[in-house]
Amino acid sequence: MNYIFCIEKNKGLTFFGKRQSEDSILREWILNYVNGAKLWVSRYTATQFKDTATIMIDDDYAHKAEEDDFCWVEDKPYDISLASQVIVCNWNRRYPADKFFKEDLKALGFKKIKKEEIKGSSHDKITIEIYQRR
Amino acid sequence: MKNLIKRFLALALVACTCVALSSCAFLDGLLNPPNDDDGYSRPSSEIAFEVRNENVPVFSQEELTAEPYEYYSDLDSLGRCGVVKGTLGVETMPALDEKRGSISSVKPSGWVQAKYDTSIVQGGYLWNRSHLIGWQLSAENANKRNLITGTRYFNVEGMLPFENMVADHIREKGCHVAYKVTPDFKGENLVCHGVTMEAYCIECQGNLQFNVYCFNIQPGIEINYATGESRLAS
Repeated sequence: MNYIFCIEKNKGLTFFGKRQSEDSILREWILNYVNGAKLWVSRYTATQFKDTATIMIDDDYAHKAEEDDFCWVEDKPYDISLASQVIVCNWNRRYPADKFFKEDLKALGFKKIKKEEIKGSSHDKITIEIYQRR
Repeated sequence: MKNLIKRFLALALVACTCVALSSCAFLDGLLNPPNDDDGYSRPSSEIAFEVRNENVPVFSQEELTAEPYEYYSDLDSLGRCGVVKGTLGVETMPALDEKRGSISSVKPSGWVQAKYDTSIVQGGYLWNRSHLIGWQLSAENANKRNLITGTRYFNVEGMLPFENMVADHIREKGCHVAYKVTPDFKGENLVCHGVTMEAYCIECQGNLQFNVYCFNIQPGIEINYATGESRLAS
């Protein structure tokens, strides 16, 4: 399974159960990267999409996603031990947070295989890092 | 014998008085922690902010308008800022190529600048001229009704992340956000203990909203909120 996270500078993931930010160009990037594979999201994450035909909406995606599927994690739990690839999108901004992405991917056996920077629709620079389990 | 009883009663009275006085002192110590004895307060924790009212902001119907506006209270008789509020949108934000103006001419109430080691205060200087409505949201520069004496920590760890969240939300969605910042001055203190920040997205109907209190503290520094003086924590 492949996980996608969006985090702020201090690795914050959400604040009071809600996302900190969103960006339409990043959404496009994610859909392009997934390239037709299943992209699972929670009902809350689905509210980011105008066209939901291309995504799988289920709050229990962590148990339903299969090996090659992608899960965009915002408000629901995840199990990093199931991940073969992790995509971390950094907003390069400070936002308030009370839930953090604390995984030490290197210690968990992941290797960074790609780093890309994009200009978002409302963010000057979004840094996307892709980690693959060794 | 009578004299002996009188002496005993007198001694008992003195003893009772002493116990009562020491109890009062003890009670006073509980109610007024020792760190306030000389007017200085130690930061009790390193929490930059806390959520209030389950994170639900309190706005009147009148304040929940999508029509952009900004309101800044007049300074009070001590030269202190009051509540500031507005409906913020791209209309109130700086233009893409707009540069920040100087704000160094403004001396907010309690402005007693102090420099510390950069290992304690990022950048060295304790006090920032803290915008109540951030520049990125209001394009307000040297508006004395919008600038308070705030620590570096308060500015960067407390207020800024919330301002960023609102600014990026407006940029992304083109929405309007009802916004209110209320400084919390105790008594006649010249420096506030913190500010309440409230926000509510009008068009998203609260998809973005918060109600938080940001503490005007600096870890490692004791602050005299009455005057703005400060010192290293003992």
